[in-house]
Amino acid sequence: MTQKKDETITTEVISRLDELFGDEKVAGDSEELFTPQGEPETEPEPIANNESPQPDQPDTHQSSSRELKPAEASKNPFSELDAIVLSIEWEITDEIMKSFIDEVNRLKALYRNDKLISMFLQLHGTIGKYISTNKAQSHPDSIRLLNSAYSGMKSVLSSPEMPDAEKKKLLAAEVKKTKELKKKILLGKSTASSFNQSATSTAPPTSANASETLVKAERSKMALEQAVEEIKATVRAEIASLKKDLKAIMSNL
Amino acid sequence: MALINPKKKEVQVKLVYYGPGRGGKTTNLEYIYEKFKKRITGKMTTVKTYGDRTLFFDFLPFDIGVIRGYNVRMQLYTVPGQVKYSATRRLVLRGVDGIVFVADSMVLRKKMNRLSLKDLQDNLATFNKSIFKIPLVMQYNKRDLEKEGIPLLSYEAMERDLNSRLKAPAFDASAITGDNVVATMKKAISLTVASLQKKLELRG
Amino acid sequence: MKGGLVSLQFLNSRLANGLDLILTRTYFNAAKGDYRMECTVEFDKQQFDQIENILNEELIETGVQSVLLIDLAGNIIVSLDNGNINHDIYSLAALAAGNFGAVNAMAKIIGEEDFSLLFHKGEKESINFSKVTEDLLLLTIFSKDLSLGFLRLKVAEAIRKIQNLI
Repeated sequence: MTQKKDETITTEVISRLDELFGDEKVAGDSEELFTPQGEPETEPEPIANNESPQPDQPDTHQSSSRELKPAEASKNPFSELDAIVLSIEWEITDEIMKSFIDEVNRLKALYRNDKLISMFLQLHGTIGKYISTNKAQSHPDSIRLLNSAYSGMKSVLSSPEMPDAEKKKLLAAEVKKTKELKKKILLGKSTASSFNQSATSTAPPTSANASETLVKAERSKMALEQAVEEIKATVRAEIASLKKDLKAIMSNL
Repeated sequence: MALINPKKKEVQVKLVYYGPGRGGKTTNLEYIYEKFKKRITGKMTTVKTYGDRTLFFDFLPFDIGVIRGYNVRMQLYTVPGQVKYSATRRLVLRGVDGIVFVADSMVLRKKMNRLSLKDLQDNLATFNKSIFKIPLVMQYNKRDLEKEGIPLLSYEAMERDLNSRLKAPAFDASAITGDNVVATMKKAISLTVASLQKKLELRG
Repeated sequence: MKGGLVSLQFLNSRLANGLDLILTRTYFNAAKGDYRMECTVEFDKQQFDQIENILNEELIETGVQSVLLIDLAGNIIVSLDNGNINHDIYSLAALAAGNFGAVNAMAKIIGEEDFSLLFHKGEKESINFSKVTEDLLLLTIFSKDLSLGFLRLKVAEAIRKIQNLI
């Protein structure tokens, strides 16, 4: 019966192939020599299949190759931060983010008398902490903002002849972007939060002024994020299920 | 390893053209692609050296349509034939379901054919597959050179030399003119597909 | 029930359980003295959908242009994009599997188990490769708007979630 099945399948496949490659005539049937038995050679020992894999993790042994020594005297006090920012471009790990924040703090101490640079560094610290806490859940714009703020700061540092007004303008631009990002993040959270509220039928939070909301959001950040994730998953599953039902209905029509 | 997608009702099957360097593996695929590209929707991908020799692989995917409710998608590959590319051949053989062995009929290439066949056996073994069990079709290529006076091994001699124990289906062919190229491919596909079904039956 | 090409008893029973994808591997069964096919990866319908959701959520919605989940033989399992893509994904998958395999072989030659980063940077678009399991590879195509570091975080998160499912 198995052989019969084989033959039927083979016939079907061959006729399909004939349709597809039709104007080629099949040469007079060459010897059907193939039989599954035949003295097999001594089979080689089954070779153990591939070694256990190492799925890609950003948390590898290969972190920043530079060793970071605080308060290291160097020609360019920003050379360490340069290296760290470059390595963030390649990989974001706890270790790298910690180095980033430590280095920012070190530079803050060094530049405590320079208000402008201090404020730039303050921005870096805020963004760095956000990315460090949220990692994969960070808003994609946060990395862009980090690079942009860094680039702005470097412009100021590399142009001592730049008028103060222009320097302040650069800083203001970065501060504005930071505020906009914060709004985006909060908007995302409060949307999810109100979703949560309606699901659990508790009163929605009164929208106080921005800084108050910021403080509140930061306090319950972790719990909120978890709730957001759960809700997202539920909504997605529901939508997927609805889509499927719809498809089934359409195909039955 | 065949990929079966019951949701999409699709089977993806990998067929590899193996053989010594300059034996005609790429020419086989090029012929199929040129002749039938209006009917088959896949594009042919080649990774070649400057000297027009296969460096990595050639690749030609196409659907053969629905069979028993499943859309069968063939993925045809060739391997680079030169001896130095053994490691690459092993990579391309990964997940193979069926083989076409393209042998060079020239007397001068007799030894290379055997070396390549042995190489195939060894590489299959690294994936726990046996050359005696895998769906295999032999093609004795370059028969067109006979009329140019180039000494060729006869079909029988090729059979004795390469196929006496394997006993695989074999075709005389000329990839450059297209003679028996499609017949070889059809045989290989039907053997491979039938074999897949058989293996699944055993599994069940 | 009449056997389909691959919908034999085994597959029928799997379908009844809502199985969605089967990756197979042939192995020699010494006890029976023949070659059998085993399933190296099986996804049921729910897992399949969950994988798609994970990849959409973690990657496509973050701004990744295109995501391919493939096996190491070059077959495509999942293909998602942001709607603006028109690549030849079949050739891409075949080449990606070959590329990954080649680089993996190079790693072994120099005494490394694996490379933790396989990434090709283009002027506008870049490609990142990540291993999901022994048989599965995740390919992400992304534009310069997205930093590699951030992408790798998202990819790692997606892989972690997928591994929890399997």
